[in-house]
Amino acid sequence: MKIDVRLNLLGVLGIKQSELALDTPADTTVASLIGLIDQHNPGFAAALSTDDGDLSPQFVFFVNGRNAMSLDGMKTRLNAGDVINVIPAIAGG
Amino acid sequence: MIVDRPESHFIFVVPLDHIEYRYNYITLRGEPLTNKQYLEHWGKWLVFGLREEVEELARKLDPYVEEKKIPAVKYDRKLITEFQLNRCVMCVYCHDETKDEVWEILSALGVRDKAWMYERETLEKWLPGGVNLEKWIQGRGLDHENAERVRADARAKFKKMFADENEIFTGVYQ
Repeated sequence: MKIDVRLNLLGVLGIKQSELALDTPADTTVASLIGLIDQHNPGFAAALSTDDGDLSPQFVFFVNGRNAMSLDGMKTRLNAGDVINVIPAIAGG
Repeated sequence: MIVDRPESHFIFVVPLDHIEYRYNYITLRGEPLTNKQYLEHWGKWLVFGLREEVEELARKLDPYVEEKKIPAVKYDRKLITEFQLNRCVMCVYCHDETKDEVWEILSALGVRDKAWMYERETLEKWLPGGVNLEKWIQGRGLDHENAERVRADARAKFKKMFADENEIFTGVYQ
């Protein structure tokens, strides 16, 4: 399934590709998507995850505009056509 | 109306009525929100772009703000280099009950980033221990004493601001 990913304001991570159209398996979750993005942008997964495997509070991971932390965090299931935005938490106003 | 006060990092788009008659735009269907309602329902769509891009968008949003289809907008005057952000951030504010209508306006104007954040989430990040406040303290290299003073000030400010949950929310000076 197709998922559009937009990585904003992530100069701090040295992001190489800020817009990705990824073809992912049907059972993709936020956690597995982060792994896929990491293949394009090494270091992404380490930055987005805490040692406990949760989403890092330093960043906000949006699924169709909604903060993944208010969904099911790393376990949030993704669907075809979902739009993902990732920003540093500091950019939230 | 675009309000550009040089002393502020932010540039605002608010209704002219707000400037002339102190119209409160933090409302739902004309009813001002209480502190509790504000924390539960008020938020913003985040938009990212170069200064020229967000300025152009602000000009396009201004008529919607005057018509009160969008309550208010604020955006960065310049890039915040100490946080290594390479884009300006624009906040397009509204109640969560109207966020889909506001998104339709933004989408029609070409906005593609879709990021909704409640004000509650932002405020929590600026409390002691919150990622934004701690990063701000770190970025300025404050010593322990000054860092503790900043934390205490932040705690006191928010406590005072939301002391009575049934009071009408009166805003955050920025």
